[in-house]
Amino acid sequence: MSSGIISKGARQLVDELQGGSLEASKVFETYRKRINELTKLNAFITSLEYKPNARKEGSLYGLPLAIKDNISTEGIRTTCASLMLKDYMPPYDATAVAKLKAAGVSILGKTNMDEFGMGSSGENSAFGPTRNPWDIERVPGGSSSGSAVAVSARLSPAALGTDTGGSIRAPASFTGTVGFKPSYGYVSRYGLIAYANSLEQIGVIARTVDDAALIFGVIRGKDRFDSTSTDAKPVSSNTGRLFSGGHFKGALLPQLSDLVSKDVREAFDSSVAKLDSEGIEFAEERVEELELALKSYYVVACCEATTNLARYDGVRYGPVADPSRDWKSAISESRTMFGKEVKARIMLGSYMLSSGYYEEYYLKALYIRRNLKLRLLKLSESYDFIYTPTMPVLPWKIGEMIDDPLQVYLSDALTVIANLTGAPAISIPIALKKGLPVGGQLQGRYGLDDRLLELAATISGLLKFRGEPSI
Amino acid sequence: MIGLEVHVQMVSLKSKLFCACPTDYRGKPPNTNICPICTGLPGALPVLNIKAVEEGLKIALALHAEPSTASYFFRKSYFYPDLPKNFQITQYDKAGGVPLAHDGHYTLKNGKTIRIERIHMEEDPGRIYYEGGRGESRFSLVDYNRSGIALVEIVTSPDFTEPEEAREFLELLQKNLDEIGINVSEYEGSVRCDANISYAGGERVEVKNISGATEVEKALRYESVRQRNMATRGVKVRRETRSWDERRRITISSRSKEVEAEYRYMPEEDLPPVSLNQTIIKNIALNMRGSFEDRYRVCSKYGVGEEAAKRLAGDPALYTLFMSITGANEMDASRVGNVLANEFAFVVKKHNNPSLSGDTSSLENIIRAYIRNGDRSRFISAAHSWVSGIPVRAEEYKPKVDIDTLIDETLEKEMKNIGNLEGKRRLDYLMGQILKVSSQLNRKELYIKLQKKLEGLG
Amino acid sequence: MKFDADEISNMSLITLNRSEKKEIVKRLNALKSYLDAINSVETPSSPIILAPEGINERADEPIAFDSDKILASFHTIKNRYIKAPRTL
Ligand SMILES: [Zn+2]
Repeated sequence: MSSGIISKGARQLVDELQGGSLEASKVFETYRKRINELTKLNAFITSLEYKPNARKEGSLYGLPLAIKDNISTEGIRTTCASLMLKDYMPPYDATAVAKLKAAGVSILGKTNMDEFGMGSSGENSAFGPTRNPWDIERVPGGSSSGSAVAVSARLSPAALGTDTGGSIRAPASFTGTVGFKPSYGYVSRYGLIAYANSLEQIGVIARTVDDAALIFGVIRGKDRFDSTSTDAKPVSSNTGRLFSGGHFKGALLPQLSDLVSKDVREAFDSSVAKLDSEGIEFAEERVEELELALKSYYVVACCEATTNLARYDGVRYGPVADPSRDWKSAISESRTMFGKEVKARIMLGSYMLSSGYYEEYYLKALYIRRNLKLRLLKLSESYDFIYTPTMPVLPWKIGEMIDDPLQVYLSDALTVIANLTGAPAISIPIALKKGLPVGGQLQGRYGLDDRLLELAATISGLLKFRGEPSI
Repeated sequence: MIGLEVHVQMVSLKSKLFCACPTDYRGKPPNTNICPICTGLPGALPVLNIKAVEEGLKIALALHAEPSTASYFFRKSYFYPDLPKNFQITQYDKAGGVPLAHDGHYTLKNGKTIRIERIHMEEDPGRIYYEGGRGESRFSLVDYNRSGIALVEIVTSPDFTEPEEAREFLELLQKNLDEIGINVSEYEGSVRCDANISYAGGERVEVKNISGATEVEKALRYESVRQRNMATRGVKVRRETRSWDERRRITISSRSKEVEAEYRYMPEEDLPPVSLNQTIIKNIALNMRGSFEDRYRVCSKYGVGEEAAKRLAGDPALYTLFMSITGANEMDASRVGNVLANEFAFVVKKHNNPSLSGDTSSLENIIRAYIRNGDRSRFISAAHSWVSGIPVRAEEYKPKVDIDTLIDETLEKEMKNIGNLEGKRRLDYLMGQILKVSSQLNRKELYIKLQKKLEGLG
Repeated sequence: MKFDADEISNMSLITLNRSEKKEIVKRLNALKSYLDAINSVETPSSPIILAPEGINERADEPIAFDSDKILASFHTIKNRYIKAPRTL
């Protein structure tokens, strides 16, 4: 039964596909049908027809997955939700995609997003805003908006997203799904179209922590095409706390609670109370280094974006840079195709890297980042995790914040921390408020991704959040 | 004043600097030697060819430069058709960056030392063709086959005064690169050069993209004449970038690039820093020496006698000293080799396993002084100090001036000037001339000897 | 360099049409004044560039990529060359 299929998680689907009780084409077609029925959510930029995967022995054989549209897929257009790459066909697969294909996955399609990953709401797309299945007038969070919506609305059992400053966790929080950003370097970035390369990671959006761990297990590991990728734990694991008999200790950061709205704070506090009653110990910590974290994040991200997006000149792909005009005017003409948010960030980064300002912005941001990283590494010697809300507010109405961009930037305050430090972080749904999901964020110690996933699974089990959009 | 920025392709590598594309791009049809990385496709990442670091260090050592302990890559941003990412991955000595090596030197035949400021690695851009020539075509045709080929950039201080010195430097450098296994002379266009040139009163002019030693001399000659003519006409030379047109043999002002001085350097976070530990560097130095046969061949080529060549080739430490002292300077190489293999080896034997890691330029001075004055006992004593690691002062090896020779030389030179001078005036004049050359002489001794000499002449 | 939209536009080759300009300049100013607080942070003179984690090497072994695949994803090809605008 088709409704049966869409209610199954990734792990269960894989088990049944391997057991022979389900057929790969049937699973794919069921999802494809639902994708076509729910185009109003605008979750997909490109949806695909079924293409059987020959890897029958693969550990994920027959599992259909959605892929964020900034992850390169050979022969499948990859747009970054930008007019700049509207018709771009990558001639190669990203390593994460190649690994999924090799494990037997079939790709359902490429999901909508904020252009080049620049946005926290899913509204900055050249293909139109993605809509939240819990309330289609509201934003689903971004930038991996389509991936989160696809998972939340049962258009896909799970999806790949990317996370530069919270781009997996924010939409997971707004759509009531699980969003996992691995440690920096744990998943190869080869083929991930760069926005801010020292901050971003490919990760998973799924219905459960267990499903996220399943996909992560397939895409993780050192890759010869990414020199920052690794599969060893660079920090010896015994410097972190040892897991002992289910007794966990979490750090709370009350200094950030000013940013958090009343609704979210209530939901968060009651989750803390619940976990506390289940024997999880919490203590409050003040981390001075967090004061300038968000600012340093935006400096680093804009500076990196400036250079990463310089290659879009229309000479090889994208809007044709007219060869009959002179170089600068032709390139400038092609680059008008970037959206406003992208233009603003490129320009700001360009300014902050120019002579005399590099030291005033970029180097200072690096310094703040280094201190934060050291401080949180130290903190993780006394705690198993840092626990905060994922997003400080509930999903807002589409268009509501258009005149207040700074307010949208501020909503990243809790998620950028893990991108600055490189630590793994996961958002899990903890409650509904006013009929909208609220996410809780767990940040672990750099390199201890498996432990964070284990912990998140335990905590999810204790909070017992159940619920899906009625769409 | 002339300074050079020399770009050397590391032609000994089999693959490009940041991707696995082959390096044999010459003669291939356009855009056949490319991959996602060297065409800057979205999502592609650079991965460093570790052999390039070794080759870069070889070059650094051949130029007596100091390798850094770690080395970072930077992005240098500018928009240009041959640059697929619109930034070049290079190294930088400011903004927190560290190049591969720094502070080297190189000696020309006339004994002049050219300082090397820094040596860094970077990627070669693609090539641009213009149908019907640069002046004619309305568009550019880009070939990325060369894009990403590993380059080493050698930046000299503005120590050259004459165009022929720049040519000589490049010739010696090329020869030296061949010597250490980077056979640039076999590959056309593998050594390219930008030259900075300024004459008194004028600002610095940069002449870009000159290929090879002879062209450098021609371009610099042209530019020096042009700048001097401007000065004579009272026109001020302004800071600008020009390019060398080989065919027309002139430099042409390039308007487009000078406004783009804002390179917005930033660290390349896709490439972790390269750690250059001392063991790696020592191993490279050892490998540079090659086999006994290689070393013997090099010594013979430099004109070192058979026995001495065998001794140098058989002792890697001596051989390394020989190579770093002679460097590209072949003048005296055979004599330096003989001194190292005989007198110096004799001194070394008296010590118990000395490290021979002292300052080679000081040893070079000691040896060259010995070659000039033949004072064996002074040489032996200075060499003992050097081997023991004791700093050697110039007085210890500088030649003692031979008064008699000096008197003879001066007399010969001054003969026509002293014809109408008599007695004491003649003596005083000659005293003055000799002391002008060598002020440290014992005046009394000189006076007596000179007096005797003049008496002998009658 | 001044914090001037036209200068920055020129440096980053991003041209803004009139309607965009108003909004983007507003956005730029808001973000810049928010970020300016970072200027007052005291930094040490020691190097502060963070080394990314991971090992960084590749052996010198050539592997050819199917270049036709790449050219197929490009436009304005002329005799296998990329036809591009020219600099002045
Ligand atoms: Zn390549």
